[in-house]
Amino acid sequence: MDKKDQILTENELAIFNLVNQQLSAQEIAEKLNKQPSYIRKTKFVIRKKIERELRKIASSLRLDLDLANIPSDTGLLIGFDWVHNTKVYLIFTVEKGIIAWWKHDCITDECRKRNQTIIDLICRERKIKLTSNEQQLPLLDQFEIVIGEIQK
Amino acid sequence: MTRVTIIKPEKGEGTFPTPEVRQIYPTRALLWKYYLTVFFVWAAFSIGFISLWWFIQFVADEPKPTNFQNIFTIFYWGASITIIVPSVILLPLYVRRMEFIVHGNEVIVKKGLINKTVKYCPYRTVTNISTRAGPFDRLFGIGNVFIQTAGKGGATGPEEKLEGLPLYHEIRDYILRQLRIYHRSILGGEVPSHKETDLLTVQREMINELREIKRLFKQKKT
Repeated sequence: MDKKDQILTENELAIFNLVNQQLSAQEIAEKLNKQPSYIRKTKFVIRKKIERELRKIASSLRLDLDLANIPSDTGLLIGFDWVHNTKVYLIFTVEKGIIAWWKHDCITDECRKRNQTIIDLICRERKIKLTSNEQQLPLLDQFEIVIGEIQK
Repeated sequence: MTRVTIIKPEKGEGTFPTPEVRQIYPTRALLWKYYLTVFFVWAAFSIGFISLWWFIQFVADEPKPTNFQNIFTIFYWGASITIIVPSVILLPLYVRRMEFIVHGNEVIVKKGLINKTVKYCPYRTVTNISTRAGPFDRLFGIGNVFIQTAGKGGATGPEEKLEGLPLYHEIRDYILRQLRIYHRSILGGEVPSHKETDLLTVQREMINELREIKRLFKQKKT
């Protein structure tokens, strides 16, 4: 990804990746040779940056934000698209920037392939593991499981 | 600008699972709009009151009653508190209790603090839908959707008012789409799928048709 497209700095990205591995501020501080207070402060900055970007994108896509369903620090925003009458998930990823995913059932293989790539990317970045049973489910259900894991 | 990857199925690639019921709540901007309105009412009242004070000072015969100024000040602050305090306390509660529900065959509006009202507006009675965004609404980036029904008509104002919505155009279009689907199903016609009502899809189809016509014309010429 181009540097100017990046929301987070290199330092923030390193912390974000470690946060996704469910590490505490103390553990991250030990790994990166920093103070825990610095990690906590950076985590707050990361959260604010991602949230601001997600809101900006939601506004540009004319999404109705479901304020009750906004997890504060997960890099996920759930909106509603009145035009297509469906939910839209905005997910922050390091590789592809912000992913805007319209909740849908795939009919064509191309659509399935695209969705599978996105699910794999999110699982890889967020360290989410789907069981073999879950992997047999339709992509829409798999996506719902991934979203549930992010919200946890 | 942040990179955005949009994952949305193109025509024929997938279907959108649509919820049957959608709850809508007004945004916090509605509360700020109400506060601003209250402030303007209070400002207008203050200007009127001060003007009256000056006018009385100007025309009143000397000597004036000794407690005249005190009575005037007490009355002014009493009236100001009566306007401001209930607004500050009650308006947030009023806005928080507002709820609009859009069903497959009706719109439900829940409002009220002391008198709780639940209005049902079935699609079969809807005659007109309009949107309005006044200067205060535009200032806070919100708008209103008005639904008029056959029972009341336009003379007495709209039957339903969905206030404080940032995406009021989209919500109006959504209700209109639901209305069309409802009316077609009632009349026994074919219920349009979402894809058919999508303006962009229709426009794309029109462009394709025009391209085809152009191609045929070119073919005929050669």
